[in-house]
Amino acid sequence: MQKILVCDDDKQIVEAIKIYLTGEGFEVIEAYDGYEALELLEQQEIDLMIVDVMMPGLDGIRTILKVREDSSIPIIILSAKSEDTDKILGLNIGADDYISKPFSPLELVARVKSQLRRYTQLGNLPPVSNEQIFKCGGLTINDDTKEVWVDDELIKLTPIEYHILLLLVRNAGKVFSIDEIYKQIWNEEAIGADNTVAVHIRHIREKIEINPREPRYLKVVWGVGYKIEKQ
Amino acid sequence: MKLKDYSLQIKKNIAVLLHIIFLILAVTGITTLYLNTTIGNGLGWLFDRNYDDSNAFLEQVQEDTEHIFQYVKYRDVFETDGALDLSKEMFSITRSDGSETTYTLEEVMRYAQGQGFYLNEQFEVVNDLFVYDTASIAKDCLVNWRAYDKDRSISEPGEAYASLLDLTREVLSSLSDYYSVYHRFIANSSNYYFKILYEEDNKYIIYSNAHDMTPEQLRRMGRYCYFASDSILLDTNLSEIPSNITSAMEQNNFYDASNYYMIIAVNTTYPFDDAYAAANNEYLDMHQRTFEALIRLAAGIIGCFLTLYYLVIAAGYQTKDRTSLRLQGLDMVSTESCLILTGILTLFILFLGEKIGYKIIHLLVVETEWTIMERMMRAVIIYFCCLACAFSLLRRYKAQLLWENSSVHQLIKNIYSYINDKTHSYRLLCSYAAFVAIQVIGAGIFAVLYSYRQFPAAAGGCITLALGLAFADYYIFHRLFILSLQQDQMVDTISRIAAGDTSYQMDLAGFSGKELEVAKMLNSIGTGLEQALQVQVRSERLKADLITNVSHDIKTPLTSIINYVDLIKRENIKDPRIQQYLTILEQKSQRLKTLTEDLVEASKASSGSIKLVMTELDLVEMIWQTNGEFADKYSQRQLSLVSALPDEPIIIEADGRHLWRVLENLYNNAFKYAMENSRVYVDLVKDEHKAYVIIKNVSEHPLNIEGEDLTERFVRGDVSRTTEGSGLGLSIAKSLTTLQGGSFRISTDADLFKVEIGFTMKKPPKEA
Repeated sequence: MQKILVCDDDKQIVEAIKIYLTGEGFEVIEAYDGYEALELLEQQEIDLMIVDVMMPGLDGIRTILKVREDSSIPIIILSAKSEDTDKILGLNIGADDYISKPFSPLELVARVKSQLRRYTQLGNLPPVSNEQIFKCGGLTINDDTKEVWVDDELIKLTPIEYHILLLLVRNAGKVFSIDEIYKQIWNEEAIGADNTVAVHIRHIREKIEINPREPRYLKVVWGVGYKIEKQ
Repeated sequence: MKLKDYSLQIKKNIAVLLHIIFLILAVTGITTLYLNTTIGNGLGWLFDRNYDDSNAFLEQVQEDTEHIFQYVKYRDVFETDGALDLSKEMFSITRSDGSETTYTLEEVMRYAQGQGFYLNEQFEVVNDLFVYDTASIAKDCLVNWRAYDKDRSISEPGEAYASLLDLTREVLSSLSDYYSVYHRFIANSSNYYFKILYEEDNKYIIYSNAHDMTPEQLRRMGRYCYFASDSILLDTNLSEIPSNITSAMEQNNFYDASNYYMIIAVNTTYPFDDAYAAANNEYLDMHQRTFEALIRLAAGIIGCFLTLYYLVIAAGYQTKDRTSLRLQGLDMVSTESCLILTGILTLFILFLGEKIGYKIIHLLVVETEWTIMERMMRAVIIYFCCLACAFSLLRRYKAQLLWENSSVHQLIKNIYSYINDKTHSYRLLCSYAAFVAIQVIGAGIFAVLYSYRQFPAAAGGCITLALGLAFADYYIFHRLFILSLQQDQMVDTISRIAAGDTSYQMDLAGFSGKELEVAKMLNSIGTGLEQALQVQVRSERLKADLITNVSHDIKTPLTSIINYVDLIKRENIKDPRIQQYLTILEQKSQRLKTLTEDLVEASKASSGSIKLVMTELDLVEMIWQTNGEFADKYSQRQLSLVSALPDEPIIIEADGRHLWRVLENLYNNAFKYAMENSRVYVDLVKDEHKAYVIIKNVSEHPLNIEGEDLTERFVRGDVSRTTEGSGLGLSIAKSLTTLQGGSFRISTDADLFKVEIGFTMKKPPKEA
């Protein structure tokens, strides 16, 4: 059973998270400030940590910095601060994910699972010998079987969606405009472009992303195009 | 105790004392110099180390030499074999009765004694008994001859007659001339030697006080002058040749001797105590005194300068570190008054000096020195008064009050105050009147001068006046030009401030008077506006921070509410009523969540505390992307998106993520308020410089609010507020658009709702 340390000074929030995660089959260890969390981390084998930023005593940021000194377990920040700068700060100091309060329980569980899968399976994946397998972070495309996996979860895509995703993954980091994608997939000039491609992209995002509004893989570069983040 | 241990005041007092001492030294030096030297010889005499080089010596020699010829003339009249012979006949007269009488020296002297005449110690003829009016005594004797004046020539008959008294006095006078030489040079030893020799046929006539000495011997005495009949040259080592020697030699050549010589010599060792020795001693003394006086003078002047220098430096300071200045009573009055007071004081003290000082001088000093002493006293009085005044001025200068305290300064200030505190129109009137007056007066004087132009002074005045007027006119032009330049500057400043550049401050250099005031006021308007603006920005920031903090505090309990509502839902409660309640709870808590998030965003956007990452982006691509994002959502309410977009890209500069937020809010707005089953038009139009995204939809509810009011916070199309949303969407959209430099306009026409956001296009790189 995987152990998850939840650290927040609000006991009710910790309690609620515990209920959700226990329901998903995780063991939850509770901590109410940074020092307690660090103590528990030393005593027990913890697989993932969820930590609040604003806490009395040792705050979340300093707790993460301490943890990162000798541990690489996944850390998810759970904070009432929802501005970009807060997210960037949190991710820069070593957190793996950032969830703003108030959060949806489903999103929380999904993100926890995603982080755990990526962390635990990084080491025991079969060597990628086949050229027909494309990987990008937790996203894997097997072009032989035409299958798409996100964090070891099989995703069902339509053929056009599949081809768009494949195009983007094969050229990870490159930004494709709507016209370029259209030409590549439909093999014809875009005459009077419309929102077809954009709609497909939206659909792909809804399938592969936990929160389509904050995509991890398929990013929108507004006014320019779309890209898969190179990871 | 060292000097530096004394306080500055004591040191200053010592310096003053020293100054007075040095001054006395200098004054006595000058006085001594005045009394001891002959003015006009310069300092050259200082190098005449010996009396025999001096003018006084030459004068003495000249005088004595003249006396010698007197002696030569009279010797044979009064003398027989080297001794005075009283039986010598002096003159012969024929009286009116025809009797002829010859008077001997003895008879003459007896007669003279009877009349009260005698020769005093200086061999001068004096008469203590009677006062004779020679003109009233009858010239009753016809003079036959005079032994002492053989060559007397008579040009008028009257001259042949004389009174006995006159003749007696003539004899006595001649005797005096003879005897003074005899007494000084022959009867007594003298440092002055003379030898006059006439020779004819080996007959020698010698006049000398050194019969046995040869000319060579006399030459060795020191100073000499030798003249011989066989030479036209004078052999002398005197610096100046005594005059009349040659002619006197010829005149006294009574025997028409063909050979003669004359030598005079002065023994410059001065072995005998005579006039020369006395003069020499006097001369040496004077030389010494003068030299001392010069040194005193020099030392006095140098000392005066040094003490004065110290006092000048120390003047006004109280302490050694020379920080605090202390002004004395005299320093408080105005500078001009100080000068006038000094003048009056000087005159008063001079008056006192004349009344008292002169008397003291007259008591103490010999009469010949009175003038110089009085002059010195006046000089000293004037010097000290001027010095006191100068130090007062110096203290003022150090305290920077010299100009500040002067009446002229006060006057100028007053004049300025007459002009400066008045209005522009008053000043213009005064200035113009003054200008016209000066011009008219100047022109009048010029005309008058011009009519007298034949006089050089008038012509010169004419030219000077013309030049002066031209210069004055140029100056007026310059002032007017500067004034208009300053007005231009002020206008420029006003337009800058009006345009929003409130931080602009104009350069005040060169401004003065009224203009300076106006310029200062303009600057303070700018500063005031700037401050007000900054205060506003600051308060907006504070508000944004407050909202952010409050929202954080709201979010934490909200999280629990949402989560526990969700947990209750999972409890599979069958009661439909509770199910309904839970749905409401869920909806409202979600709404609260959106509201807090939007609130933070709205306050940040309006206070401008959002960091923008401006990049170039294609507005056409952007709209297609947004359309794609909303296609599914719109179909939920059977809304259809209709877009007519150009094929070629429209490049603008914006922050993609924030522009997306703008469009998202606008699309959401349309989604929420558009009538179901209607169309939402999203168009892109462009003019020369700007591209506009225009979103149009037909509102479900009647729009009874003006377009611009919709962007106010918490304003919503439906007054009942039953729909979801925070009422901040349009406000956020507007703020974010404005932040990115775009324009945002909402208009309503009946139920038609129209949003127009415009961005300046970047010129696409020219394709070949």
